[in-house]
Amino acid sequence: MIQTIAGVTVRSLLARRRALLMLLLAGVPVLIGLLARVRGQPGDAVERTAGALDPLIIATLLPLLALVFGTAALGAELEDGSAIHLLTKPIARWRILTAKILAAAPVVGALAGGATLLTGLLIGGERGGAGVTLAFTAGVLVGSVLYVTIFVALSVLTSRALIIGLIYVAIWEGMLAGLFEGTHVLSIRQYVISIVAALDPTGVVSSSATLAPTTAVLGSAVVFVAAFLVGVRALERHQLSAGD
Amino acid sequence: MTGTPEPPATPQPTASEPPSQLTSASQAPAVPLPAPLQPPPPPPDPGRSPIVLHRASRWFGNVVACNDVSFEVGPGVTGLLGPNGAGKSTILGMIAGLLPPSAGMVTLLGEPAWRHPDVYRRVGLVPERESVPGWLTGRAFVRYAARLQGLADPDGAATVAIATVDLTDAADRRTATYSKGMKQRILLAAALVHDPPVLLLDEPFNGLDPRQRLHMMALLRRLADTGRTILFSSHILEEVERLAGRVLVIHAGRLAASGDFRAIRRLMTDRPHTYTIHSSNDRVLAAALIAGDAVMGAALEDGRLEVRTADLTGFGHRLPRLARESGVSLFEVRPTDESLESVFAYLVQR
Repeated sequence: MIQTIAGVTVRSLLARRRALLMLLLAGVPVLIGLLARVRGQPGDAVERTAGALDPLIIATLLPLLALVFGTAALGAELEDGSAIHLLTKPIARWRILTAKILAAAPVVGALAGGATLLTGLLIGGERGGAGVTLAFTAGVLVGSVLYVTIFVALSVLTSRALIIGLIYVAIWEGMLAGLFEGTHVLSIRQYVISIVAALDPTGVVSSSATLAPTTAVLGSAVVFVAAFLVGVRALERHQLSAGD
Repeated sequence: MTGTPEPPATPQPTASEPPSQLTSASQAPAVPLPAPLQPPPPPPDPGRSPIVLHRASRWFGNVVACNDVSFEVGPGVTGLLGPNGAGKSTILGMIAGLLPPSAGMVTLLGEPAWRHPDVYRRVGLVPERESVPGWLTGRAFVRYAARLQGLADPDGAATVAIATVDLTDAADRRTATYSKGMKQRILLAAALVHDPPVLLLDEPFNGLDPRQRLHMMALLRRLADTGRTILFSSHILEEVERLAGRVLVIHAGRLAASGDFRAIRRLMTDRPHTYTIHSSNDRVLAAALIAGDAVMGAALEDGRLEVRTADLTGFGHRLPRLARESGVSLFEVRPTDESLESVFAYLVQR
């Protein structure tokens, strides 16, 4: 059941022009990595790898991809009314939400993770940057699941999920969450960076990490479960608009 | 010169004397009394009919889309008739569990469909919007529905359902290439794939050409003959007349009439009709009409003659004769307000 829904959702996510646009977007950090390699900037390759991956992918590409695919996986269907086929079937709502997350998270993970791997290896691959690149890739995969779950749930709660999600990414994750000590524990970006720092064999990321690894993992788990439950609850109460 | 006598004694309204066992509208008092004086009627036994509405209301903000509606629907084809915006989709949405009622009770196969997705094992819904994913083939779409129903043999069930709606030849084309009628039929196939005893259809004939319409009607009639409960909405009188044995007339969110279609048709035909007449001498014609019994009233307004009649056939026969006898030439005779809206408004007043 879950595989059936996830399969059709993956196909619909990839069948549109949106997927191509997102592929181009994921290509931007790779292009930057390629330029950095061609120009061969001086300095420590490992530091430059980490310095590129944090802003380019963790702060920008990952949340944007998750926002686009997360809201498209279920919210788009609820908006255009085609979710009626899914909602008038004898399927528990948590299964529907699970299937949608299982469809969108791998798509986001593949694009964002692939971009991380390519960009990191291009910048510092054969000069000691492979380890930190792998750590970033793992962090991005965790972040994909978290962000996608949040945005799938958000798209059930509101029809303006794209705008609200964009504001959340830009204002909260981009600015406020990094400013104060107390807000670190409520930031996906800080979770991801702290997990990357814990996995990183070189230790260059530890300066940007603000949370202990256990705090980051625990926070991720709490956010995931909370977003999932909120999404299920909202889907159970979702009212499809009547025609007249 | 005006003369508008009281309307003659009108036939029994169907809402209070249902010819069939369809309605329970008469069980609810027209004006709710304060609770301490008289408790509301007990809710009907939900196991009685597949679809039961008991004093169901639904409002969206300040807009009341469905107002204290009670009815039951049993096996056979039942038409939900009303003008656009009357609340048909809201009622179907509540029955299908897409919306909760704001007040009252709606049950489908004995339980509220709202937040009970298990009921969809025995219900098929054809939504109004032909929202079929265009990138799927018709067969894939129906097979998807079969899988979501958890059927043991989704491919076989899809093949049978597609054959039922007579779409086998086009089944392997993408639905984006389908005509509106084909989309409606593939939606019906998806709704039928698990062989449900209850079928709900929202405006299933919208956008179909006459041939497709006949085909769809024959199909629904065939499905009803096997004991299914079929409820469909429509704003076209003729569609309901041709297909539905029983009808629920909805106007402005209220159940205006319910029961056997012939009785409702008679109500609609026998209501006072208003005609605007343009002739060579309106005053002479008005005097002649008033002198006879063909009209209930006549009025001269803005240089035109308006007459009201309760006897449509008699009026049609007598008007030309009266005009000839009075030496008046008729230039134009047209119904003033024959819109379905006015028909419904009339039914609601009664």
